[in-house]
Amino acid sequence: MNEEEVKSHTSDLDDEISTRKLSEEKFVNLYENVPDMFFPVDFIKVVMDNLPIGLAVNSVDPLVKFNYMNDNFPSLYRTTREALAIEDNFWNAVYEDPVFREEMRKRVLDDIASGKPERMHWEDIPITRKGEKTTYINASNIQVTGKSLMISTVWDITDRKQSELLILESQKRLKEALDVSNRSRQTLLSVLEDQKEAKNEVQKLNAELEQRVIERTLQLQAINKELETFTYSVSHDLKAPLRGIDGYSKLLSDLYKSSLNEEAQLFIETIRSSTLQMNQLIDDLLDYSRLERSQLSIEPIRIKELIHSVLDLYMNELETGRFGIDMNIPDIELVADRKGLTIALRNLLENAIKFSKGKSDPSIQIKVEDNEFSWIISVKDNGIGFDMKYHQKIFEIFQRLQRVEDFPGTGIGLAMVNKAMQRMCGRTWADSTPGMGSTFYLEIPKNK
Amino acid sequence: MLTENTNNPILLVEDNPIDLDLTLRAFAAKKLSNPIQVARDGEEALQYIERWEKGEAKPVVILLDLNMPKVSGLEVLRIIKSRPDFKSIPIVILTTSSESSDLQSAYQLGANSYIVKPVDFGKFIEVANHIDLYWRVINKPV
Repeated sequence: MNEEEVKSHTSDLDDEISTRKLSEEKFVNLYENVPDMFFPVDFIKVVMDNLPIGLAVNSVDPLVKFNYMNDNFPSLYRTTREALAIEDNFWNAVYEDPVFREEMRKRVLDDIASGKPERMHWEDIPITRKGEKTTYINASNIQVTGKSLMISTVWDITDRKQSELLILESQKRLKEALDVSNRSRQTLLSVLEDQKEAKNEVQKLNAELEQRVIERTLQLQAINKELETFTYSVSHDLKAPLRGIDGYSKLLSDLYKSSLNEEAQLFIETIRSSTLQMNQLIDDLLDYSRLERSQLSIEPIRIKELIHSVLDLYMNELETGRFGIDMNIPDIELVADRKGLTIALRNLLENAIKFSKGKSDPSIQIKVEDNEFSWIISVKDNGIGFDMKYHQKIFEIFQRLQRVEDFPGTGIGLAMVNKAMQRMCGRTWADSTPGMGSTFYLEIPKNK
Repeated sequence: MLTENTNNPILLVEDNPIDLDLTLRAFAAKKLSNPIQVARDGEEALQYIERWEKGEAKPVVILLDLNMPKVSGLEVLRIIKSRPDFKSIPIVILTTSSESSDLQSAYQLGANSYIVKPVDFGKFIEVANHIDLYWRVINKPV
């Protein structure tokens, strides 16, 4: 480049510079003077500061420098005019979280550097201040053509954002509610399912139980049948030899009396009485097992009639023994197992006769009490009585308090009474003073 | 008629040898003139039916035990009582069983009487006496 050229170039450059300077001045003049042409500066300022948006003129190169800002600009960014006046302090002044700050700076600078107007718009930017509610803004930049200056606008969208958040919150709640409802429905379904399963299980268990009951019943029936056969055999097979023993003993003493001395005859008598005692024992055992096996039939019973019919069975003995009979029986119906009650009454009456017939003035009292919850029948005698310390014992099978030779018996009678009463949910007990007689009670419960 | 009947046999159906012997002795003690026929079980008892069909004298009474091997007493009872020509023969059940089910079955099948054999031989002789009286009464000419 020669001097001429350099000169000319320099002169061009100077021109260029002077032109630029001029236009800059023009702009400044425009900026400073144009409003003057139409409105006073104060008026413009008032208008700008009262806009609902924040507005600033600044350059981003990439340091942020502000040339102008209205009042709303720093306040929407929740900072001060003074803080923003410091070169490139914008990011520090606006974004307190360093991570978010860097993120925003990078994003905004990238967008500006792209030069694309469609990227100069940022939405939903949260502005946070410690201990305060977060506000939200949208911001937008417009590049002033041919200039590095930008017009930055910012407006508050907190209300909208809050509404959005509220909507989101509501949606969230709704979703949660739906979830809860779904879960409840699921729970309900599963509960129903569980119930169904439980029901099935119960049905299954019931069926099993029923099956087991059927099986057990069949088993019990079989056992009962076996027991019946057994007792039948006992009665038949034990008694046949007994009959033999007794028969031949009697034949022996009848046909050969002359060849037997007194002792031999006594032996034969003993054989026969033992045989008959054993026979009685077998009969009583059979009665006991029959009672155990018999069907319980609870029915209304005219107690006066029943007691009289039982007394009739022993009329001979009562008359020959000159028994005094005292009865206090209301003409009522009671509800009980007829068979069991008959057996109980027979045994009590038999005992009363047996244990008091040696007395000079034997007497028997029979009483029926009609109480609120039960009927109580008592049979009282003035016989030998017993020591109350044996009270429990006497109701057990084969328990005897007296010697057989004094009072014959097998020890089954009171056990039968006890069994018969138990079967109808009643009970039996006694009261006695040795030598003074005994009272035996039968209690039959009402309304079952 | 009465003479004819009184000379007819008594049929004793009894499997137990001791019971059989004692029964025979109990009757012997009553000095009965009737011959006594013995069947040792139900099967033997039923064989008598053929003999009666052939014209052999029917018994004045049948004493029938219940518990027997082969054919039970109740079965013998049922068969005889189901025959029009023989059902008029009185049948007395003479058994050890005092089970009410046996008693009911026997009467339902047409037994004329039911006697439980007593263990006491003295009483057994009384029973024999009763049986004797029993058939004398039922065979009394009208």
